[in-house]
Amino acid sequence: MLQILGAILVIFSSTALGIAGKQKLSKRTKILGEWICAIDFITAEIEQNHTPIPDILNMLSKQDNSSLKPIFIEMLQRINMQHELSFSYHWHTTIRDLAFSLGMEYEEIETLRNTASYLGRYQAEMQISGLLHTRSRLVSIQTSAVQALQNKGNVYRMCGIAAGIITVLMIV
Amino acid sequence: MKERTKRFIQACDCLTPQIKNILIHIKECEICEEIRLRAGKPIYAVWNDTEHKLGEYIVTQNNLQEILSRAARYSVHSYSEYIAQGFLPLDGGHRLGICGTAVINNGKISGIRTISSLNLRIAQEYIGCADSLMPHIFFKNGRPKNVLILSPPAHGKTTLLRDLIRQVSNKGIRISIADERGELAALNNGVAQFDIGIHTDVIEAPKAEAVLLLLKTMSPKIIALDEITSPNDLKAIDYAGNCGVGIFASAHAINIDDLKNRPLYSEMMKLNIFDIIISLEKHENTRKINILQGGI
Repeated sequence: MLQILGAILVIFSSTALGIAGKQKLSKRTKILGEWICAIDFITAEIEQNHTPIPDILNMLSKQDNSSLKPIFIEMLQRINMQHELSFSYHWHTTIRDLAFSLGMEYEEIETLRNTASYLGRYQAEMQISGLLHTRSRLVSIQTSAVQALQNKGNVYRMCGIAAGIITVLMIV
Repeated sequence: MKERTKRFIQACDCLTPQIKNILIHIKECEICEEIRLRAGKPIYAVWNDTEHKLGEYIVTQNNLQEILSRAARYSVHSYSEYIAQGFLPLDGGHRLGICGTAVINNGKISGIRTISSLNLRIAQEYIGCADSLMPHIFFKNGRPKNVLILSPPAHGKTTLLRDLIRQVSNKGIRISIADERGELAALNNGVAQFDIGIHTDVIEAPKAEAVLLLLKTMSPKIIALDEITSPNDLKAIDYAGNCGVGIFASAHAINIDDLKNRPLYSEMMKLNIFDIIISLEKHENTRKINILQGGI
């Protein structure tokens, strides 16, 4: 009886590891999609309404069901608490500090951090061309991430299940 | 802390921490009128009509870009109309003048691309500076005269005009200000940061449009506007004058002859709008008010 329970536990835990690997990939594609939407939102607000950046951040921090909400809330808090530091610095450091916990990886983090060099600093046309470049970079990263999810996602899950079964067989 | 020191520090808020730190330690902050920042050059502050070098720190182009974005609340795009005119209004009525490579669209300046220098003008309030002018402002029947204040830039036209508005308004006369650059009243959330009197209404809009709007909506006894600069301004004040509304205005000129030499102002003089013309003379840190025409 104990052997059966142990075997089930081993299979379940390795399956869970495999599924977690897949979820990590799917979380990354989701967050990349949300960043692309946020960049589109910022672009539209700058282009159409000339909305000040703090107001745009405020709107983004109030969007429900967005995984990016904590980033914008934290960014606004930092701006209000340390207003002597530049906006570029706050954008840069907030993304650096929170991105990994949200499932982002080095490539997209760097792309977004580079946005700080022009966001809010130049006139609308220059910022928009920068934002479009950032968007296209994010789209290409997202495309690779989706491919990785399709190729590796199921492999991770199957490997997890297989590893569990093999471990049980070896123990038995 | 004295009011003028507070205003100086408030103006310095848009600067980068390094530059602000150099400035807030100068002894002359109470008499400082402008801060001059040029790419590749040290910081200069203006007092007593002279530029004084402050330390050895060299201002970089990146510093200037950062100051501009700070002044614009990190939203340079939201102030593009102002930047196209070469300045940015700051909280407290201060003003950041901008120089650099202009972006031209359809023959007009639509922005400034690479900033080469900035001029932070510190707005000051001198309550009572129009005292000596007050006996000349009213006709015998109590009706206010149309007033024109002349002086070269940075001689205190706006400060004098503001105090004149305050004193006349406090006498119970309804004044409306067309404050295009936000320097007369310096509205913050609708509240004037300068004392402009109790019976004063303010609109922040292009002067010509603002004058017509005020006439329609606020029924003012006097309309005040700083710096007549375009034919449209002239048309608007002529129209207002013909509607029986008094005008308080200012213009860039040394004296009446200088005024008549300029096409726009010579047109204005032909219209015979102003009852009293005043000029301002600057001697180091003091100003002398001369009544050129129309005193008692």
